[in-house]
Amino acid sequence: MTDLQPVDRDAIAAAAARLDRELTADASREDRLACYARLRAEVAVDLPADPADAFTRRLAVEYAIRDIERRFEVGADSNATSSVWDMVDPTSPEYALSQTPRLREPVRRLFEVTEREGSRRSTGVFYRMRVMLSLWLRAINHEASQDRIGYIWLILDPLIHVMIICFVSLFIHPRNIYDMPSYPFGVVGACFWLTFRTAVTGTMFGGGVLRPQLEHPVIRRFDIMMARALNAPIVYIGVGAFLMGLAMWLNLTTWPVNLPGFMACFLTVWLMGLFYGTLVNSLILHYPGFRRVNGFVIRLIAIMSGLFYVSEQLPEPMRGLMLLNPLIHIVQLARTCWFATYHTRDADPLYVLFWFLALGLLALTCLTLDEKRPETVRA
Amino acid sequence: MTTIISYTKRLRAARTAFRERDTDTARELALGLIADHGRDDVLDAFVGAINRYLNATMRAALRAGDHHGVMRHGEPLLAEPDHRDAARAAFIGAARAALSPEDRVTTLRNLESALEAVPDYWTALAEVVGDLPPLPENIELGFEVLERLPGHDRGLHGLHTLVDRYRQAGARQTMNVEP
Repeated sequence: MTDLQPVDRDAIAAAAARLDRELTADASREDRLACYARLRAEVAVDLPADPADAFTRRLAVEYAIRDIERRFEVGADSNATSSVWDMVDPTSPEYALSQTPRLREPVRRLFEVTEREGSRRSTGVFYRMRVMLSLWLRAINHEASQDRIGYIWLILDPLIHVMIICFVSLFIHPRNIYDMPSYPFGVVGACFWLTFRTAVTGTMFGGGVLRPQLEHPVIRRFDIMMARALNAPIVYIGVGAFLMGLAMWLNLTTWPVNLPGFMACFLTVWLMGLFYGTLVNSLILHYPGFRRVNGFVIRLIAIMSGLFYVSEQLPEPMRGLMLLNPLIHIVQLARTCWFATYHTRDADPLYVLFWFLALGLLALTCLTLDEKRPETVRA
Repeated sequence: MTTIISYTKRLRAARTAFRERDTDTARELALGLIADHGRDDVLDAFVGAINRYLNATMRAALRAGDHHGVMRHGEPLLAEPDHRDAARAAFIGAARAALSPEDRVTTLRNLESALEAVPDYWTALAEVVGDLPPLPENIELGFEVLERLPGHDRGLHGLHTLVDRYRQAGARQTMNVEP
């Protein structure tokens, strides 16, 4: 206000005195507004002819109103309120989160990085893996927090599931199945099948509890689907290792013949689950009823995936039919990699590769197309 | 029969426009259908989907700092009861951040009926009063702002500046006219 021509102090004082007379100390805002309106109307009747003088006269009234209003303000500092609001307004230059925080030395060294270092930290494969891992942890913590013993159920539930399938396997063949001990045979089949199924269900629902995380600018749908599918290998590697360790302790099986090959089969089955789930997710977006169709398809895949048998045991027309399912090929290749007493004749790695590439390509196409669909934007 | 065909055809065109993310056309067609055929569940759901999409896009633009995008996507939502509050806040915030004083006043005044209920609307105007050209209509705007926000410091200072500049401009004109 340095160079502004001062407004007539007498006019301000006269208007303020008039308002002071009319307003009590506990006047409500409505009363005050009505009083100000009356004063403005009175002043407007008798304004000077020169517009500049008229504006100055009206300005004096506004200054008087300002003086009166200050008495009714609790903090007396009218700027304080506006600056607080500015601090929470993302478009304001005073927005709290856009201000550089004052950091202590060790924290400063951690956060104050060069542009190149910052870019390295926020892009690349490792960064995406960290994002997915934190999303996975968030989903797990959310699921586990629904119950007092939620974390125990996270392990117990899949463990019981695998054991039930193993018992079925033991009921059908009490000792051996095609020269493989029944119990570890069942564990391999169950872990592979459940990994596939968990990856499919995790991916096909497109995020569930993680969907609100799409609000975060760096998180994409793919990260969320991946984080949901990540549950499958982590849980079933743990459960499978425990049960196969138990089988080894009971002398029912030995250390795997080809551990890298076995793990490659496991990774393949998980990725195929991920691809299939992405495909189903896309189909559900087009037609929600496909959710029901998928229920039947999944059951059909389960029956055809060699949970309780190997294709070499089956008669000819049935064998050809079962071998259409790439999952039975992967499970049999995995059993070949584990058991020294079994070597599959039917499973074909090339057939698996064909399905793997085809499903992967379809899943990528669906993912790319769905990213552009308006319906997939979270409202 | 012709009416039904017209309805189906126009709804299909609106849906196609929405799929192509041309929300302006989709919304215009949908509102036209509502005006001609009245509301029904299908149209309500469709307009709801467009509004949700606009809301999501507006918030994405807000996160990205695209203030013009916020205003573009937020404007149709200013009259929608479900999205009005968020759209008003985002629109005014974006106008404060992105527009010059004169553009801000023009934009906000054009949407006065949709925005005046929000206190931020008058605050956004009070902030720029002092930066406007010293014209009688801008001075009147300053007084109007102070009627809504009595005693607002920044608005009052802006108005005082404006009146002062108006007086100086008048004095210069007088000096130029005098021989």
